Amino acid sequence: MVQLLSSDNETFTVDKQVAERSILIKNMLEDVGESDAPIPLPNVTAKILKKVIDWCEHHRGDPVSQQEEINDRKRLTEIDEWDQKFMEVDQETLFEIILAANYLDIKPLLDIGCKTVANMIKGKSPEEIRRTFNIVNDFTPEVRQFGIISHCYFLAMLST
Amino acid sequence: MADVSFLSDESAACSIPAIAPQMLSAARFLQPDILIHIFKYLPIAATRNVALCSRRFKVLVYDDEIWDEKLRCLGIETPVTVTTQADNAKAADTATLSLMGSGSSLYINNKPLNELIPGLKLDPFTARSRARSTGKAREIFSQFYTRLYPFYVSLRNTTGESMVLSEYGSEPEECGKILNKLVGLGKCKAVDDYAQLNSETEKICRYFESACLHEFELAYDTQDVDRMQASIEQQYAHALVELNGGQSCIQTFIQKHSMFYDNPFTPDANFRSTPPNFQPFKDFMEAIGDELKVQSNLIHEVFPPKADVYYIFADRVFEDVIAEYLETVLEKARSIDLQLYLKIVASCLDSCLGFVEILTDDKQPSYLEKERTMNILFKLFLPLMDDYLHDEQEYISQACEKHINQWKATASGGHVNTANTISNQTRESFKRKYLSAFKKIVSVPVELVSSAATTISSPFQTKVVPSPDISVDTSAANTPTAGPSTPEIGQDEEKDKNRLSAPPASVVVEDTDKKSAENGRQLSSSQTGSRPNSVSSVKSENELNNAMQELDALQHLLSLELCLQLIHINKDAEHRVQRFVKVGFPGRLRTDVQKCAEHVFTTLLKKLGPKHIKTGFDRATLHLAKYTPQEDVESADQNNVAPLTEFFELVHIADLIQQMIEVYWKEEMLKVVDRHDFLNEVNKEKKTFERLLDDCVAQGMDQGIQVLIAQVEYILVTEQKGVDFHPSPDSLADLKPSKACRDAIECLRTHTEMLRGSVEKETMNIFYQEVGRRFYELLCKHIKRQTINEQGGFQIISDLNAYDNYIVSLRQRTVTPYFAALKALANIYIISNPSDIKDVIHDLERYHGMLRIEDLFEFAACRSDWPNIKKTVQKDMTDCNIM
Repeated sequence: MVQLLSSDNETFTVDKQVAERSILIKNMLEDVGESDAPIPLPNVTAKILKKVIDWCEHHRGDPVSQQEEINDRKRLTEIDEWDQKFMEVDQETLFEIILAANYLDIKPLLDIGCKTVANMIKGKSPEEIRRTFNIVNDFTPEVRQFGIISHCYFLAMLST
Repeated sequence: MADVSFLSDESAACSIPAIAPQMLSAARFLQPDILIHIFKYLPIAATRNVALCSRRFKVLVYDDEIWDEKLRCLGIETPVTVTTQADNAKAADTATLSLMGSGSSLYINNKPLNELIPGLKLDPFTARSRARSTGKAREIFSQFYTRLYPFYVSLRNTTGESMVLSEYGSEPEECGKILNKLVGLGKCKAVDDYAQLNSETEKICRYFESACLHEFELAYDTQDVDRMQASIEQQYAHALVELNGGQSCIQTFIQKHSMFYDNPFTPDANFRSTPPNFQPFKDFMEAIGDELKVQSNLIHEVFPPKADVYYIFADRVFEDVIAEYLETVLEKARSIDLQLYLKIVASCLDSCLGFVEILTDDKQPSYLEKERTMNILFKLFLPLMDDYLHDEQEYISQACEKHINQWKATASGGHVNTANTISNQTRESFKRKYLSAFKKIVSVPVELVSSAATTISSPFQTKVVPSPDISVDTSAANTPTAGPSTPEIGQDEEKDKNRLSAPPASVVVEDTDKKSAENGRQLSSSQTGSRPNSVSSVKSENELNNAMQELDALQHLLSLELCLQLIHINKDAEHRVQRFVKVGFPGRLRTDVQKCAEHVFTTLLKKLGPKHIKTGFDRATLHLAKYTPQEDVESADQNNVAPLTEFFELVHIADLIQQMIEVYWKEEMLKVVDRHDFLNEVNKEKKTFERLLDDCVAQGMDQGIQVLIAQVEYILVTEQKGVDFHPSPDSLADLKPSKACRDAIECLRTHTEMLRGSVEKETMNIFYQEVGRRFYELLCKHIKRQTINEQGGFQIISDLNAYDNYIVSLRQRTVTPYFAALKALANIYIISNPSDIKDVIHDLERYHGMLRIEDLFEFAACRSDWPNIKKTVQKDMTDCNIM
């Protein structure tokens, strides 16, 4: 069993196998060996850490996939149902999960998160994207004009 | 930095210097890495909208990392990627170079050092910084995209002919290219309905491939009829290669080649005739060589170079045709004769090296790199090598033993052979001749020797055995005791019997030897004309024969011929193995082959040393030990101690053998072995061999000296007449050494001379000193036994002078004083005045301190008038002693 300490000082006790889904923790355990002291994770809040642990519990038996393989086959396939459900959270949480997955080095979770975000972006207009992600349009009017022109040009090409 | 600051406190987000501080911009939290990761999943169309969102997104979405990956799907290495990758590789290389200071990076547990630290990027250079993004990748991609998109989208319309085929149907190569790219585009999932489009692409590809293949096959089948078809064949081949590497087309091309299914060469053809000649084998190899050349042209015509068809073809030829053929041939050959098998393996290596040359010949239109070709070769030989190396070692040790035993069987018995010794001078020249001939033979390439002297069918006939007509000649012309050649074993035995019963006079043998030598010479001169190719080998062989026959007289305990034979067999094997050494197999095999080459040589020494030389010497030593001079009374020539002569001859032959081995070692082994590497097995074994020889010589030498001294004593005792030193007073002294003295010296001289030139100088010196010292003791004893009068005194002086002369001729400083002392002592026998005698005796300086006063009195006691003068001489003896 491994103890994990979130940034807001909450302790989680998980199976070693579950915790080792995170490459960061896995390496850490390999380096320092087993110890009773909880592993501090100052970049992850309790709320997110709980989510992440849930995911890890569910995927504990997954084969450790090779990186290349992911690139080729799994990368662009759809997200499976459980994960889709898992990712049905508000955007804030979603981003935080992605950040946590990145920090903890849990590649599959990061991929799923990114795919979810990509699906959110897909099929949206720039304005919609901005709205979804709270981005300010910082293009100057001229550039915007040019952007629209090039956009039209692009569309024109596609229609040929 | 600002991106992650929200983690500490969300309310502090307003402090982020963002353009819209009133809103929490979620996307800003995400690091660029993650955003790029997200954008990678977007379809092409969506990226446009993202780019229009904000500057930040635009920069990120144009990043090379995203587009490089898509380009890789298309199978295009962009200049950007190429340079960055090359840079990375180079940088990584130099990094390891400078860090490790050597060409190879450091490995622990077979992993690069960096890999051992989990989580660390393989090297800092692969972690590319954003700043390096050039945007070029996207430009390139968009070029391809705009060109391919219409074709791709047109696939949505599944009815009717697709746009690709309608536009490029007449240009298969272009069509193949486009289709290949479309498959790549499909992998990028550029549009939402990519699944359907991709399956359409696949369908059309399959259709296109089968159509092309069909055309290709048609063209291939008719290529002989109409040369023009070749261009069509080429067209479709190129198209298929463009489409998907053209594997199907290449396989068809290769499988259709007659060599693979309709091979006219069968391995059995080699074994139909007895003895098996390997003409079919050679034909087979030649045919393959020719075919490879033809295919080089053809493949160049038909396929583009990048398809690498020639390599695949060559690989198949080696793997299927040659390997199968070889397997059967080798198996059969092995069941027939081990040596045959070994020879085929070696010759196969030769022909395969020939193929490698053909394959890598850059004058041919298509050729391969050396390294890859060698790998094909290794692949062919790897499974064979273990067996081969093992058999080679087995064979050499078997052959050695067989020959030694064979020789033992023939040669046992001929031990009391005193007759055919040769005078010293001639022996020296024989040895020289023999060695120079041997040198020539060793340096002649082995194929030449074996082709001239042996055939593949009779591998055990040695190269040195005179060709049949010579032996017939000699046996016809000479007495039956003369022809010393191994093929006539029966005759040899007869000869040995003859020697046992009645040793023929040495003159006769020498005579016949010379005759046969002349015969050989004539033959060699006649052969020079007819066989220009093998002139040198035949000539040197005959020279060797001549020298051999002359020397053969010496070898009833050690056989030079046997050694020569063994060296030749060994050389054969060594040559075979060394060819493999030169090829330079990879990995473990390299050391194995090297070991084998060394082992072959050491086996020779191991067998030759203990089994042949040691036994020979042991027997000679035994003969020496058994010998007592008295038994030999009847022998006509007392100066010749048979076993001693025998032993000395043996030392000579052993020396010759050692020199032969030395020559052989220099010629052959130094190619594979460093001469200064004293830990090397070969060099160690050679040292052991030399030490064994020295030990044998030393052991026998000790016995030899005893026997020699015993013989001399015997001569002195039997021949020294009482009157020699005690003649009647009136007889005239002739002042020549007595007969006993002359004989003894002669005996000593012949035997000491015999050894000259065969062993090292130190050994010689020790031998001489030992002989001198023991001879001195013997002489003292001998003189004390005599009775000497004044007349005899002159006689003994002349004898002692003769002894001294002889000893001086040995040039041993430590022993000459003894004899000088004896010379000085002899004066006491010619002095008539007793008091003068006394003076002389007491003048110890004269004797260089070699003689004690008691000895001197004993010597004086030999005087015939001793009882008369005893008193006077001994008078002051007590005084002297007190003094």
